[in-house]
Amino acid sequence: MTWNTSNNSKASELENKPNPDSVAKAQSIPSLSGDVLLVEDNKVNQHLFTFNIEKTGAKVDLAENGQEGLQKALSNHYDLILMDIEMPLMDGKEVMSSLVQLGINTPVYALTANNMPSDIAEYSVIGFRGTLSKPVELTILYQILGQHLTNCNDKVHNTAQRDKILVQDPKIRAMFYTDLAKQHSEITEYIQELNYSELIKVIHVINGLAGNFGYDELTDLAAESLRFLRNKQYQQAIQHCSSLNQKVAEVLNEYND
Amino acid sequence: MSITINILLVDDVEYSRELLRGALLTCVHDHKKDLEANFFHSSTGEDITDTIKYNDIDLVYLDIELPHTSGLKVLKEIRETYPNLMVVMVSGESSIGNVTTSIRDGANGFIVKPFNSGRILETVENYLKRLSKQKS
Repeated sequence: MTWNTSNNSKASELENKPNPDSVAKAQSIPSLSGDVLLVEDNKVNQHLFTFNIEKTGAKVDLAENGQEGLQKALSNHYDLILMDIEMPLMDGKEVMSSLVQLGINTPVYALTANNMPSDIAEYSVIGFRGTLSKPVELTILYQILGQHLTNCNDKVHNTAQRDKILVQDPKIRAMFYTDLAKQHSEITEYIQELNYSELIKVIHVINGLAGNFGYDELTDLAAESLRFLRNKQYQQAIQHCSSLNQKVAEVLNEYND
Repeated sequence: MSITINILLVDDVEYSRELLRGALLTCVHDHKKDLEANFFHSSTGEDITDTIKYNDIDLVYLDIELPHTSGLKVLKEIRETYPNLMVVMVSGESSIGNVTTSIRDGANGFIVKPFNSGRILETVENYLKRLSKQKS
């Protein structure tokens, strides 16, 4: 069974109506676990790949363009990356070269309609592990997933989220809270002074590390504050910085209790 | 045969250094039984080439956001004297500008905070791969 990415109506038909072919093939869908990064700008393909990969039990993280794909590949650890070639901002070949230089060893497959032997040879030279020609054959997709993800009968499950470090060491946690108290006073002071450049510096540190101490909410608030500060949308920035600082105070109060 | 790596952590935030050191130690202990690591640190990135020379550094984790300079400038300084030393950039954000500049100026890796143990392990494995290539 294949899906044709150039025809939206046909693609959604394939997904929504379980035809006899797909029912018959249902038996052959492997049961897998693992994390797949899908780098694809085309909405129909995003949907179809995600739908079919998630049927195996594997998780899909989506990047909508090459730049986002590169950023996600640097931030998380994936078992497999499937990447379109023709994309805005940064194409798949450029992303692949960057991943190679920065030592990302995750297998990456090119998703492309350019399936001339010369194209496939070029992708291989750049560092792609293989090529999945569009329209993609599900049997080949499942074969590749099976090769790189964990079979569910095995006990080891690997997830990108699981790999995130959560600091338990009381000495390091104490350092974090000491710094956080200092950062709280600084944020209060810089909000009063409307010192945006110093706010960026302080909030940047919280944005980077709060997640490793179990405070994802602080990370999210810090990221939003930074976004407004950098876009020079100061009114919203100050509102977000204040919410962040309020949350910081709550975290510190909980710790001191 | 056991291998000892001298690792330099360049970051002004102490708990960030401790966090990375702890994660690297876990990698070393859990995954590579015959590996040992010595840690050195710099809070500012100043006199980086002297620090590398005197401590015989094999692997550098270099934060981009330093108090008085940028890790990207420090990377350039390292490359003038040590073109082949493995340098992994560390940042709170994987902004594309920083990533592309790091690549252009010869960084060998890029990890993002909050730290992910899988990505950190990958950098250690890459160091060992380079080492075995150099030996062969």
